[in-house]
Amino acid sequence: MAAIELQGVSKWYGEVIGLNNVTTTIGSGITGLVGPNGAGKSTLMGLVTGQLHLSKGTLRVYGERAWDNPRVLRRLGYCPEGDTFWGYMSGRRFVGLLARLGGLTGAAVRQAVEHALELTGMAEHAHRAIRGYSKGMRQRIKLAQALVHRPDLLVLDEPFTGTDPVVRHELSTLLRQLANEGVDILISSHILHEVEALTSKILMIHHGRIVAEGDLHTVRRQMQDRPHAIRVRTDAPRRLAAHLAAWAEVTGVSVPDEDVLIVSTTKPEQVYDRLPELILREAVQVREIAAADESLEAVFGYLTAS
Amino acid sequence: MGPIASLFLFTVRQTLWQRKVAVVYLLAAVPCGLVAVVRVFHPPADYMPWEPFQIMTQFVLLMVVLPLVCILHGSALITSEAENRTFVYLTTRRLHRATVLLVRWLAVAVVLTIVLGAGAVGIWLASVWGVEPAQLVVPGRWARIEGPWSPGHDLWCYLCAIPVAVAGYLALFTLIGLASSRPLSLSLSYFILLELIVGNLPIAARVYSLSHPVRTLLVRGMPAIQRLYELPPELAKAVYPPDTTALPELLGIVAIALFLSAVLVTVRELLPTRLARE
Repeated sequence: MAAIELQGVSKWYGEVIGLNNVTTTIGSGITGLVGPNGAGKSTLMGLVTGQLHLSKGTLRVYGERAWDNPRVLRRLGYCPEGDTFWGYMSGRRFVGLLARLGGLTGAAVRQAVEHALELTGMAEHAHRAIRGYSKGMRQRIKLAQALVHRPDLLVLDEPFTGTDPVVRHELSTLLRQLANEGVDILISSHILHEVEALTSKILMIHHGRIVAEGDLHTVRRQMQDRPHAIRVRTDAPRRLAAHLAAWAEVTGVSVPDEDVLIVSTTKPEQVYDRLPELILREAVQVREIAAADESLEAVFGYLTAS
Repeated sequence: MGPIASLFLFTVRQTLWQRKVAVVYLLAAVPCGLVAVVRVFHPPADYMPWEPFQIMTQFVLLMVVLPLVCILHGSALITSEAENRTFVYLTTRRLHRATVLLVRWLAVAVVLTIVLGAGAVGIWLASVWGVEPAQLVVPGRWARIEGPWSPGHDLWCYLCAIPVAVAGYLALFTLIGLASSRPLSLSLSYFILLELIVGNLPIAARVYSLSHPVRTLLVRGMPAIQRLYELPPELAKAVYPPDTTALPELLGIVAIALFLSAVLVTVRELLPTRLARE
């Protein structure tokens, strides 16, 4: 069963559209939800976690409606975006309270709390009041409360915001570990390369609509109207460029740097097939051949620009 | 400890930690302090404890302080969590939204009952501490009560009335808090118009205030206090008929207010829209 299913889901705030007729399925593993501010990411997460009502359509989380449904909520761990805490509480009490509200009792609470604090690297700071935490610590304690009751689905709204690269790396490792253990994760982020490093399953959202979904590289290849860019690092970029410009499948070449050649093409597979032969014939040294615009950032830029 | 008990204890601790509970303590101590002032400046030989005790407990603590602290807590019972964006933690666990509301209402009601009950005991102590038994016989000169007075019985009546009044006012102001975008001003307007003015006028309409069933309960336990209301005999008979407690009416008000609050908290998103839209 899919973790989350949306069928024709719309959400209006008065006359403003938050989500517009979204139909998609979010399955197992990690799914990255990306989009600019105001795209509708938090609206989607609010609907999935039962914080918002649907204006239209149906939304099912593990086959059931999410709004005010403890059967769904007990399987859900939610890390909200904002700095929302009872600041006077210590981290340990905060996570402990939410563990108990999540249904854990007795010794299982202490065990689960310590486990969640260890996983998020917050064990040594957990005795301190949350109001004294740094941004990174706040993000980690929010993550700890989200996973303390061992949910099946983690919904993480911008968990990397305000964290330094070390914390981001640690959190990414943790999320991959949880996904390997069978936890479904829906994560939104502005930091596209972090999402890209976490998963290739992407849901791109813009102006309340899903503009692309699925495997990132598949999405890129389906964008026929956008020529692909291939980057070739070589000691003789101009010599190669002269040959490549004559190829029918090549739409343009450029040499942005002394050792870099960018080849634009609408048929990247054919270019990849023919390039080795050209390189051997010309006896040039090549250090790298790679797609220059298959990154999440590039794809997202194309989609939102169009 | 299950989720309901955890939420109850959390709300109790939270209520005791809040800065505004200091205002509750202060307000609850005001009538007690006023009695102390009366005793300091009143000649001890003439001092009759019945009147200061009744006036401070009923007219200040029960009819003014209690509704005010219920406005303070009731109007923010859920909405303060929603505004602080912490409501999301309570509603993404395994509790129904209505359960969250009811448990929080109960926890705050218990805390307020204890604090205001302590206030009543304080007034009682300040009124009767060190008073000779002879002074507990109320002479007829005030034309309100005469004869021997049992302060313990009256304190017990107030201690029974306080939780009932807290339940009623807190439920009502919780409902206003959820139904209105300006709960504080609406609650205060209601309190001043209906409770302070209409509820104290010598007219039949006073029965529409929430203080009426509370007073009916008190009159049942302490018939002599009717004289404090200075109502015409006919009206007094109509407003406070003998052998009625008004308890079912009051509990009905509590039940309806809580039911409507539960419906509102279940159907309303209670999330600031600007947040939901990023």
